[in-house]
Amino acid sequence: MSFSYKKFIQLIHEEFKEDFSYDEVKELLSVDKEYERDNSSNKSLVVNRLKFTGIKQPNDIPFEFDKSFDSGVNLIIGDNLKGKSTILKAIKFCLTGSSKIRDDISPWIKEYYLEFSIDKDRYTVIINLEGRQKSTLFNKKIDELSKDLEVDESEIVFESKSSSDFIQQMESFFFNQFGFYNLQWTAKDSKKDSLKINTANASWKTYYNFLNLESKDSNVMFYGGQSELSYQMLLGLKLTYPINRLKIKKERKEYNLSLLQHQNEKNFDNISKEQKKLIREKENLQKEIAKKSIKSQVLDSESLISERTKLNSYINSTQDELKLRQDEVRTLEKQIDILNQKINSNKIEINSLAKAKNKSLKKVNDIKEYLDIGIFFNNIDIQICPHCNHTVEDEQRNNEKNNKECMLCNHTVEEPLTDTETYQDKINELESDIQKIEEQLTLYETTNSQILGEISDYENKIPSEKNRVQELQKLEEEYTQKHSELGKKIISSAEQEKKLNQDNSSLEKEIAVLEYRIEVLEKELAEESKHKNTKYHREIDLLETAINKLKATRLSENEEIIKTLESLILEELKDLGIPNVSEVKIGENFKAKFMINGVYSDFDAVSEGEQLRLKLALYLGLIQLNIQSGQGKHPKFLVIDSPAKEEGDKGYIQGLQKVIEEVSTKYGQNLQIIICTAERDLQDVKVNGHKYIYSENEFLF
Amino acid sequence: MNQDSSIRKYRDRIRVLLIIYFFSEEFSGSNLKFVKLLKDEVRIQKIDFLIRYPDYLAYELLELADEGEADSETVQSIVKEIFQSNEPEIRKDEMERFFFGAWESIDDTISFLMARGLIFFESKKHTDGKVGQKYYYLTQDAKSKIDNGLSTLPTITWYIDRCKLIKDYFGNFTGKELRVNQYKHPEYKNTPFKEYIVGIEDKVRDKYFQLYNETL
Repeated sequence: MSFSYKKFIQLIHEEFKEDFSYDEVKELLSVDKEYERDNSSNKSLVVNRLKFTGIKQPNDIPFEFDKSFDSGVNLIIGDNLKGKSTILKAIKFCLTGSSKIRDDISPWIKEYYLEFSIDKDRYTVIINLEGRQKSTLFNKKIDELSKDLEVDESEIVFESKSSSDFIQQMESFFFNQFGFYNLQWTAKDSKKDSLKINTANASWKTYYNFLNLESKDSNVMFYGGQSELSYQMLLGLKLTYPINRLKIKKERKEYNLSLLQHQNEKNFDNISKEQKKLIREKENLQKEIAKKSIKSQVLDSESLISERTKLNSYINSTQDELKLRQDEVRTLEKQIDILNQKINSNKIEINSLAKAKNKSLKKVNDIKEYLDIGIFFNNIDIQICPHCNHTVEDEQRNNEKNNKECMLCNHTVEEPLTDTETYQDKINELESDIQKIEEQLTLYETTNSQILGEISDYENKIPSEKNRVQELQKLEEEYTQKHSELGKKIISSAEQEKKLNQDNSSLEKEIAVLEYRIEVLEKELAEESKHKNTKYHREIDLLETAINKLKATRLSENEEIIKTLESLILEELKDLGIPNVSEVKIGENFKAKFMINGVYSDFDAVSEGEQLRLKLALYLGLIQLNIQSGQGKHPKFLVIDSPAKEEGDKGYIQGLQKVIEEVSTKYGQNLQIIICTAERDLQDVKVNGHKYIYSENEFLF
Repeated sequence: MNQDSSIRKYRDRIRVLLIIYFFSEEFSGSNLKFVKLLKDEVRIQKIDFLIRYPDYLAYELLELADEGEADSETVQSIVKEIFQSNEPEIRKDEMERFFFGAWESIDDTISFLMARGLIFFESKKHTDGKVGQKYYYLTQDAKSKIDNGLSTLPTITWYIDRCKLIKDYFGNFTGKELRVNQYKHPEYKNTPFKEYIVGIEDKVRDKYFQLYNETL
């Protein structure tokens, strides 16, 4: 065989070098350096003698069964329920350590003896069931093992003190003999809800079952994967071991991947839940910040400050106008004051003019009076002397008139009131003065009334100005009040803003932490979904590729063998009387397909009457292949229990009889078949081995 | 003699003549020339004061009105008239304060009037030599001259009207009584000896406002 596993690894690596290093590929494809484990064996197993002893119940009747068998076809004919199956199960028990002997019979049997041979070597297995199971495999015949004889150590293959150990030891023994090994399959753990998968070993018992055709199995070609595995094992094609092991590895990987995917999904779920939760938290925090910032807009100190600035300008403009108005009021009042002063000074003038006028009037009065009174008195003559009371004489009067001498004291007298014109001039002068004064007065009074008009104009202006001043003062007061309120607000807003900023910065910190955690989670998610799975997928892909390549190699390298097997099976089918099968195809998975009337059919599609023969043909094909070309490791040993149980028609029985006889003839001593049947029609069949025919209703033991 | 002094003398003469004329009683004695007699010089002096100080007169009138002695509304219109025609200034003829108040010697005036036969004056001395009661007689001649001539002179009308007014309200007051009234005013009372008595226009205005709630 030209196949090199090293080259194979290199080939696979070439294909997967982007994902895996050579060592990784080597590790993945490692099959414990036993890829060349598959080989062939020409050894044959023959059961020579079965003996078992015990006590029948319920009557405590001791019994002993002891029959010999030969190579070739051995036939046991007995009625049903008389112990036929027990014989076959006893053989199985002795060879494999496990058997399902009926519960009511099993306790009867105390000791088993089975003598068998593998090629030329004779062995006897003795199982003692009194007390704890004791089993011993001897390299001797039963007859050579008397209880009284001592046995040489070298004649004991192994001794076993427990049933499980016996099973183990027998497996090792037969695996060694025939080059079997444990092919493996994976199965889900049988425990409920368990996600575990177990790697199961195809055991010696598994392979033995494949040699043991029980009636109830006749319509089942392969059960589970075990028959397939058994078939592979018996066929013994090269690369079966690495294919099996890599398949297991792949299945485990797939299982692990599914676990991982499950876990990943869980993790993914958890992470994305966590992520969603964090995003929600983040959004909530952001909302909180947003909410706060909305609140803070209400107390936005900038707007407050700008409001205050605006207010400042209002206050300033108000104060400016106020000053202007107050100045205006002051100016008006000053004007009024000045005008009043003017009026007053005019009044003083008026007063002094009035005084002057009065003075002049008085003077005019005085002069006028003087003139009147003067004339009045001048017209009255002096009559008496006020001093002496003497009457004044006319002479005295005339003297005065003529001489200008006082009539009383003789002093010169002035002509009284001679100069009335002068007085009149004076009066005229005074009156003209008065007129001038009056003109002046009128002027002053007019001026004053004009001034008063001006004053009243000014005074009329004052109330509106004063009102405006009051308004402005009020406004200023309001603005100032507002200003101080705003100041307070600004301070409190600044405080709130400070607090808000502190709150927000702690919230932002929280958000940053959340964002970091989200980022980490996102990375984890990416990692989870990408890297690991990808790695697993690639590993599985690699294994799949490797398996397919190995399978293809196995098929191509064993093409001749498979073809031979197919033609051998076809030949057997024809020999067994099924001529309508035109072709047999052994597929990659060792499932045989039969071409009937030009159509490939599965085993299940074949009629029940033909299923046993199909099966037998497959088995015999394998045996024939081993005999003919040395391929495979079939022990050339078959057990057939009740082959005609369900197929009791005459034609079938005759066919079966023919098959048995033909096998006897064809294979001769090259194989051993032990057949148990209740079909008495078969009692005349010619076999080359032993034939035990029990009479009707006779117990076999 | 300067002009003012002449004017003053003539005015004093006409005033005193008119005072005697208006404030004297009918006289029906042995001398048929005398038709009226005034016995009290103090009275002349005090009445003369009221003529010469229209503000004091106004105040006295307001007092009477205030005390219910005179018709308030009449007094109001009189006082108003006095002040509106600036009498306290134009008609004031200042008088000096003497021992017993406003007093000016009227001896010259009396002599002048006597020389022209308008009045006759006599004083009866007490046994201790002190001047006793003074008698001022108005002559028939004076009466007819006043009634027929003087009272028609436009410049004299004011004096005649003023004398009548004073007589209406104060005709029954003796000189002493009038003196007491005038002494009530510190302006009058406190005027130093031989000094002109100052006016009381402002007091009158106050009193007037107080009574009539009206500015003079």
